[in-house]
Amino acid sequence: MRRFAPIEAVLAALCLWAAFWHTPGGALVREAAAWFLKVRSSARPLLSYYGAGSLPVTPPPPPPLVAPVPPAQALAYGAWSVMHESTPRELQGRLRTLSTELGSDQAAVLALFAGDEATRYAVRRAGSDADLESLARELPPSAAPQVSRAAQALMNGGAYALSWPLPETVHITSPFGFRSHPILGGRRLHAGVDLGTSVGTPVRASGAGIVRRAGEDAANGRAIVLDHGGGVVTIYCHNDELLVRDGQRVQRGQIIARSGNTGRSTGPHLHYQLDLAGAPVDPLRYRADRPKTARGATD
Amino acid sequence: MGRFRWAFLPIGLCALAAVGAHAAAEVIAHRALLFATQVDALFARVSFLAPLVDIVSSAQRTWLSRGIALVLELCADVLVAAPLLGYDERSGTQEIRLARLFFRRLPAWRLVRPLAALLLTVAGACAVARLVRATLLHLPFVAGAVAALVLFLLLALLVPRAGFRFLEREATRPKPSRLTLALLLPLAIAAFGAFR
Repeated sequence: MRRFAPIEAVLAALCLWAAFWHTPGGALVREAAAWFLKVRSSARPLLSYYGAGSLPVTPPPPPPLVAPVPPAQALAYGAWSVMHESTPRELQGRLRTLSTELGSDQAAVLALFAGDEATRYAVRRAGSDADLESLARELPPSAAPQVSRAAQALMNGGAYALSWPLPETVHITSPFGFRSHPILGGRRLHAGVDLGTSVGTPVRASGAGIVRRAGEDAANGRAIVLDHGGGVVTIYCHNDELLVRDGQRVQRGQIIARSGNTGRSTGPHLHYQLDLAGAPVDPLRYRADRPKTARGATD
Repeated sequence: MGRFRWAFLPIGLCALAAVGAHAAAEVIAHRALLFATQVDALFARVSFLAPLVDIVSSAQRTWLSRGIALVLELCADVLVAAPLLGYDERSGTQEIRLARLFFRRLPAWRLVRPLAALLLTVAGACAVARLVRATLLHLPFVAGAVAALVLFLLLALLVPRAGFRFLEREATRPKPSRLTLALLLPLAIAAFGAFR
């Protein structure tokens, strides 16, 4: 057996390289070694070793917009918000070309961050209709940071593509952020924006998606949770009437409810919330046009 | 190089099993997420079960499925990878003779752990070959040939040794607990999904 020793040594080195750099176990060993040697660890968070780094991560706040985002350019804006280079218009051209060549928008965004050659390789292996996670699985683990940025770009693109659930003329009665709660008191995070509108106003889906929940509870009243995919979720609370059911697929602009004053509320209004990767963010960050603010009903 | 076989061979086997455990755990994470989506679709059709759909958000589900996979993987590292660090210098024919003997002597259920080790190391060999191929993606023709060669050599030289070491361990150590088998079984089954 000893005659194979040099080959076995090379194979053992390859296995050690794979385990050390590309598994959570290896990350723990690196973390321990860095702690012992008092140096900075190169290990990533343990869960990022699954799905090749495509775990949805709440993206950092995007740069402020100077003009409204045309729906067709939402993806380019999403990529621009993460890249901080080039312009959305230039990126739109590159994305369109890449999408035609690679067969999907997800592959096109991945190509922007991980490079054409790597993405073409992943598309060849996983298929042109594969999602980001399946494509990422075919790339070397060293591409995980680029995959993570592509996931953030797709999520931001999804947020930019959303429309407003009520007419633009409806005023904001309570913005997103920390405030003194009007009913419970104390300083709390207001996780969405309150739009003061009369009972019975049609509430429209801000994007295509699947109804994750259409129900009633004491705090949110009659509420709808819409999942738009890619970590983008919108929530509509305090409605008078719900017009959709759990699991129903809805289109952008479809009337899903009539606004009301149900649940914990001081008067008729719609609480509109945008969640990215499970964390609430200010929906106005993804819009150039901001509805005017006014005093009025809130929750 | 042969004089240092006692050092690099156990480390290589341990690393191979760890890579295989990771590949199998990733299959579990993916399947768990798919399963949750299918359960969602089922619940959404039944009115009184529908509110349960929103208890865990999609982002939390991803974290949860990967968390479960991580726990199983770390268990496999302890139960399968770490025990491979032992070493005994024997000839190939001697190992084959001993393996036959252990195979005849052990009851069927005690072959679960050696079988799990074998499946995980095969999954590990596939994963190492895939990593080599993905790392050389800029040289497409060379990458395929090198990956195939690495896979063949791993399957021929390291994988059988891992199976043998666990047969030997099973024949000389007390029987494993039910918990050990319960932790290893899902990974051993998932390892089939990592053969690609």
